[in-house]
Amino acid sequence: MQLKNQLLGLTLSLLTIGCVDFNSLGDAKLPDYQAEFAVPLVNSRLTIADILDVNQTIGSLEVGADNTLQLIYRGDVLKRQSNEILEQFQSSFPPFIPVFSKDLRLPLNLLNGLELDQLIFKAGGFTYYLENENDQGLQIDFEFSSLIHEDGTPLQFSLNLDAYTGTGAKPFATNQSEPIDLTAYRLVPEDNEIVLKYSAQSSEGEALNASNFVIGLNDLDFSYIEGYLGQLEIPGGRDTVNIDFFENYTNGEIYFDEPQVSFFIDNSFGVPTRALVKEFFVETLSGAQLPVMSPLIDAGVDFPFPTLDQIGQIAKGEVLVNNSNSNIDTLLSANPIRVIYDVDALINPEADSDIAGFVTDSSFFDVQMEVRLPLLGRAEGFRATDTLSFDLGNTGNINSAEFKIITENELGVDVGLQVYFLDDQKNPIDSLFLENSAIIKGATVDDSGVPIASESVTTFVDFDQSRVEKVEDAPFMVLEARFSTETNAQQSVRIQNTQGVTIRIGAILGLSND
Amino acid sequence: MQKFLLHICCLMLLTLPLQAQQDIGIHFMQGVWQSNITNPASMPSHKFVLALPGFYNQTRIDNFNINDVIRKDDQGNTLIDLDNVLDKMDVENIIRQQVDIPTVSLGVKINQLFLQIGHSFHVNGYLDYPKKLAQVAWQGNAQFIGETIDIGPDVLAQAYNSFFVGVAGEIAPGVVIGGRFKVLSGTADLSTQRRSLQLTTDTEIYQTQLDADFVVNSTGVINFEGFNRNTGVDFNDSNINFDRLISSNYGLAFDLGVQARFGDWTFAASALDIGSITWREDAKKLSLEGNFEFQGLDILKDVLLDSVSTISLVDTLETQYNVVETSASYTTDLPAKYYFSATIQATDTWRIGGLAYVEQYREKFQTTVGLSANVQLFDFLSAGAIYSFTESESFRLGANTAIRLGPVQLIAATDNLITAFQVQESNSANFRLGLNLLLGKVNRGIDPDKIENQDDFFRN
Repeated sequence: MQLKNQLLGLTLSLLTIGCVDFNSLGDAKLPDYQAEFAVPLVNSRLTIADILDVNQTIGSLEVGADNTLQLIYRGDVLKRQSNEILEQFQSSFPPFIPVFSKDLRLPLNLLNGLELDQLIFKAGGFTYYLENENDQGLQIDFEFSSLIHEDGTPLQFSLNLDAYTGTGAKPFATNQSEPIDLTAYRLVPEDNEIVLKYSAQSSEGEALNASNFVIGLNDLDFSYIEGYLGQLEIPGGRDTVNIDFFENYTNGEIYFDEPQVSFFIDNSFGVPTRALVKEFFVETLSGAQLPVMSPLIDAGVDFPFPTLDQIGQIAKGEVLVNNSNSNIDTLLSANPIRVIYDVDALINPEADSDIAGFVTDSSFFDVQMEVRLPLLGRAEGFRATDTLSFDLGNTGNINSAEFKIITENELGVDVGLQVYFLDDQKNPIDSLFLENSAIIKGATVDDSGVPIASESVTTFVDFDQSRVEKVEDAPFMVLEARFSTETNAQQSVRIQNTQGVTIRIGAILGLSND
Repeated sequence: MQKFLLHICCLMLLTLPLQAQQDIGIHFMQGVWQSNITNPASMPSHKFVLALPGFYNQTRIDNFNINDVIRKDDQGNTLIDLDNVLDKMDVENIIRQQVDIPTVSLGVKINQLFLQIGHSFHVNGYLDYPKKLAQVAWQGNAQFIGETIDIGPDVLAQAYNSFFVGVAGEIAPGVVIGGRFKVLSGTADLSTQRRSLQLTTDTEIYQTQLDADFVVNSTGVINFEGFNRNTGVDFNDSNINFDRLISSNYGLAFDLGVQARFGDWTFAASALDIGSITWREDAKKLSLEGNFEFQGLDILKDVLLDSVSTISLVDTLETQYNVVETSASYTTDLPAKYYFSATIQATDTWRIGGLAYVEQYREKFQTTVGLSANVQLFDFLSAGAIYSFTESESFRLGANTAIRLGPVQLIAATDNLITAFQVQESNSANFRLGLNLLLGKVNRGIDPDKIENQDDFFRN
């Protein structure tokens, strides 16, 4: 019975189980959360083309024959169309020519001593006016021998004038309201003289004269002029080629081994033309203006031009100014920021009238200058900076970070990187690296300046909570890159389009509750 | 992340007080209607039984208990000590939750047969998670730099209604077989179909690689709208109830049992919940498959262009993982259970028994063995104790009782009695409560299994 009573007690106890006080569990809190997450942040490979391209707003990048990258800056030196010149010739034609002789040979005294061999009209009209003051009717036969139709016949016309009665208006003839279209004609002077003839006869065959006889060449437009065009100077004006490579430059020196300036000439004028360099100098970052000195500059640059059997073709020429014929290497090694020039063009510079040239209505010349900076050279403490807006965003619960930075440099250039974090007044409040150490060592180069193998460097950067908080609020950051070729001493290094810098950044981020 | 962990912790802690373990003590409560749940061949001691709403809960959290989870700091504040929990965890860990709510059932003896009909609602929860998943969530992945770890959890959570009919009868002298046929109507499910998530953190700059073959099926639980800060994964637990008895997520299952008596010895075996549910209603499959590598952001050129104002690693990571959602019906098996027992009638009032219980979740089997002693103290009161052992736990002592007041019978059982008094030391719990209305007992005070002529028993 005692056992039964004990079991009964146990049974009653069973019915009351589950009444444990768990109130404290409701108030339980998680302890300080201290997790560390390892995450990859950045994995970028930048070729030198990427780096330069994103900063080039004016120039361009080209790859040279040996894959060497070249910075290219171009500008127009001189560009002219033939219409500017042809208009001058058109305006030099007299509007009316008096026909004071039945066999007229009229010298052409046109612009700048123009000695015309041939002129083809694209548009224009021929007009005449003549009177009869004779008391007999006239039979007029006119021939403009120098004005030849495309079918080979000279411009001709015949007309009759009534006899003058002695009173009232004299009988006259004119085509002013309906000029003869000159579109199909060309003017072919004889010894720079235009030749025209006419005859006037009475009905009885008596030779008489017309009076007040004038002809006019109106609304002329030419498609072709051939001959000695005279000496004509065409002003080019001052212009500039900006070099923005040094836009973010802070200090230091960079030396380009083989800089060059080229003039590219396209010319379809069939006349000798020379570029007259009035100004040509390089302005450096320091504000100095250093003149380019070269015999080429002094002598002027003669344009190639098409000959009479090359009408319609474009003659091309290139004039190279480099370290063999100028002081350009010195100038472009001195941190140039722009090239300034003023170049005019002189047609028939030697004024040799024996040289017959031509101009068509589509002739032009175009002179362009190109500054080419091959990325082959040396750098000493060359430093560039760029200020960027920065918003790290809410870092959430990140209270520490250990960055692991792996850089792999395929360039022969040592690159020192630093990031400064700025406050809203742009005062520095922290930096990524505590020391300005060059963390991307340059690759060793061979004798031609080409890197032999890439260099890899691993760097660890610790950010404790106080640094994280500072950086979190920074609205700006300054990227600073320092370049030098210290690793390769005085050996010039060659930057090729395939070279680049790989930057990989991972971080172990410490997270906590708040 | 920490809020998520807090929710998980609270969920785990709040389930522990429910007190439960494997439902083995009830198996030996002979003549009690609820023992029929463990073996459909087990008959009650009354001709008519009406079971009123009851409750059964089973919770098991492997490898740690409440004492491992909470601690007091120097100021006396209660803290959840997840670091300690992680120390206690094994390579693989299981959280098991089962809630059964038998709403109503009726058992009637008609001639030689005992018939039953009823309804119950079930919630099964099973989470098999690697320790490394918890470590990554709470401590981060930095500790696994240079390693490949598997963090894929195996999840099965389902809620369903069960409508059943059953019959038991003696097929030979002393040999009773019983069966129960169930029509299932699912209300919600969340289950992994494949669980492989291999996470590698590289040593170089900690590049991560997730080799994923992870597929989750969901019906009425998950709303997935992509990984981003405004949407994400919404868990909807509104379907985990039995308000809606009938759905198009139907399935079939059956229970089978046999009981054989040889003199004072009774041997029993049963297989329960052999069946499955096919989920069709708003069923969706969320797949994360493939090799997802994150090497870091390729942003330096954009930085140089000053076109990057905010660098968002999280946004990038969110777009890395491409979860594909498709609509497709699927089938999940019920966790099957198997009982094997032997009992001897030692005296008129004492019965001694032994049991092996096997539960199958997915491909994993959990085995419990136990010894029981039951006594009929009074005509209205019986009591029992069971001593059991499960692979992942130490020995436990359970107790059970049935009290009858007139036609009303109240039963209570637990398989981990010590936990009732030292809940903070326990990592498992179960508890069953039942209320029955009994009519027509054949032979007051005599166990029907001891009736030599069973035919007479069933005729009474």
